[in-house]
Amino acid sequence: MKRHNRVALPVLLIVTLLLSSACSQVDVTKAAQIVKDASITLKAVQDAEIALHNAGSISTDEHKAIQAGIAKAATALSVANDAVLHAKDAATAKQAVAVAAQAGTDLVNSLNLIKNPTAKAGLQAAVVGLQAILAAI
Amino acid sequence: MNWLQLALTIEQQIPGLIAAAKAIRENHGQLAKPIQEYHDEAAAILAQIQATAAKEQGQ
Repeated sequence: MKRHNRVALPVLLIVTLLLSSACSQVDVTKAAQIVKDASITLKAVQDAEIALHNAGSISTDEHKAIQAGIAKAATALSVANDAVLHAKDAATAKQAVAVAAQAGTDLVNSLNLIKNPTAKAGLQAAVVGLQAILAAI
Repeated sequence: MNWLQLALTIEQQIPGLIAAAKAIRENHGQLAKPIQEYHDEAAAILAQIQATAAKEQGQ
């Protein structure tokens, strides 16, 4: 497995799990809850990336590109958030959340830009740590 | 960055990660909340993410 995949896959897994779990629900409220969970997770990833950048492990160019990817993911989640609020049935809410799953791909693409392997490992550790906490809930 | 610095960086993130996990756990314990509340809470978080991302990209 390529090194960048070791960082990208956990992030994709978290976002995908959070978003896809909504697809198994037949309740619009659950979809709204999942969008909020995905938002909290995205904020944690953003905070971890900023800490690594401030520590000098992620270059400014990489940092800006990653933040752009995070912003794009946040936009996708915002669209889903509004769509779920106005969804009149579970199927519509499910579709809105499924569309937002693209946010995971955007985020992975931005993380793939990190050249420093230690920074990659650090961000991976932060994401895997959160993943482990989530799994224990 | 050596491994000690990496460990310190991760350690500094732990409170934030725990806070995120706690928020998610509490979120799951409040299924009866109206959809509007989930929406507004998520919107606030996403707005914060967007503002931070814009600030960081402007550095």
